[in-house]
Amino acid sequence: MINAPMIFSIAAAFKAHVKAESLLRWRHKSDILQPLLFFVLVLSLFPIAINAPSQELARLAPGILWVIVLLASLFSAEHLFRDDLGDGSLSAQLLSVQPLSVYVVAKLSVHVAFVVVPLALASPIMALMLHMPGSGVPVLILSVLIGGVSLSMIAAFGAALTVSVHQRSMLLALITLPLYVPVLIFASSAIQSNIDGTFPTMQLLILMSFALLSAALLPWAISAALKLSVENK
Amino acid sequence: MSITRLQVDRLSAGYERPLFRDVSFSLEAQQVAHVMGGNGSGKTTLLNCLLGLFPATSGDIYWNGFELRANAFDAALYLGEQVNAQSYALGLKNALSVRENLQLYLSTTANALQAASQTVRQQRIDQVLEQLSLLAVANKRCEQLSSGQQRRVSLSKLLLNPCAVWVLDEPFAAVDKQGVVLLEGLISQHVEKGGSVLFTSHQDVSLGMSVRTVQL
Repeated sequence: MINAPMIFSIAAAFKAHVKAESLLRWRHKSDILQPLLFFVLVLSLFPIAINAPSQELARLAPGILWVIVLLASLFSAEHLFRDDLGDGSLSAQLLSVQPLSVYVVAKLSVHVAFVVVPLALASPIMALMLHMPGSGVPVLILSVLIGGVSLSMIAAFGAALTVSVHQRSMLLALITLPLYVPVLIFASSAIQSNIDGTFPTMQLLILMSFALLSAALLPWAISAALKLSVENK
Repeated sequence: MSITRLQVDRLSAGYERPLFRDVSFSLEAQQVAHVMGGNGSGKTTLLNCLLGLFPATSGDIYWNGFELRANAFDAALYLGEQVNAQSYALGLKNALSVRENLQLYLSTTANALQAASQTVRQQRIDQVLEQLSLLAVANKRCEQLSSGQQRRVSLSKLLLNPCAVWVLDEPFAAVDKQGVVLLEGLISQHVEKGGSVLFTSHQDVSLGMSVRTVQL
């Protein structure tokens, strides 16, 4: 049964995990810059590679932007639990009386803040490079913020399943990419719809439901996958 | 009547081939057990099995009379899981300072100080660091410390969190002579207060008390 001291201790543990994880990210600034740099570098190659008029590039922009956001999110999640498995802190969390999901939710909240938010903030500048009309920008930011939560959760699930596997990159992509597809479809369709003059209420609500569903269910699945990975390392 | 903290009945575990077969022993209050065996005999695997971190192929494990997994692990503290011949997973974050690591530990494990104020917890951390001669490096990141100092930082968790059973994997590895004496003293004090200790070690340990041997 959950009682008041237990809720207090869970809240205190969550706060401590968020603080420690934020400090670790801040001290390894390359972890913050890597997905952002990937996003900027890959995107800047498209206008050079596709020799097309700006209208054509603008038409492709929502899809291109979202594919790169998706890949940046996938690569950034690959090492999410690797260090914790190696330094023994994951085993320590498994032995703690507090639910493992507290650690998972704290870790993913920091991941969203340090990876998804910078990507969302950088996306308008990237949209300019692809000549995307300004009317699509607010929905682009919104879709990256909302869709990014689902992407992070799905990628973390894949990372948890593959954390003890040596050649994990390919396996991680195979597990997560099919689950990314619905988010990709609705997010790029939302931006296109807004450019065409219709506010994409339906697409954004579906993206929101994906985000809420993944945030509610996947931490438990991630915790179970981490337990399995520690047992089989 | 003495309390049986841990009982192991005919435990076997391994990978493709079994590492150990039908290991049975018990650990009671005020007892110390030394798990012995050559390299690769399954000492770390045994400790992992006892804590539910590795599945046993057969046998039973009871903590305080309850079957493993039915019991929460606030009674046992596990330190220094061996990764390979050279390195140990001490549960420390290299990029965090000694003090930050211990603050994280106090906030994320069930212990008497969890509900205490920040100042009280800070004072307790400082006391423990002083006891282990680590106060001078309290604000240094763990990655800047020697492996012996890192081991001492991980040992400070023993003093911060008063658990009944200490499960220690090679606690004397990489610790200097002074540290070995200190750790032997800590184990003796813990046992005198009614605690139990289960440890693996390749070194001869002189604890000044009877130590049960579990041979793998």
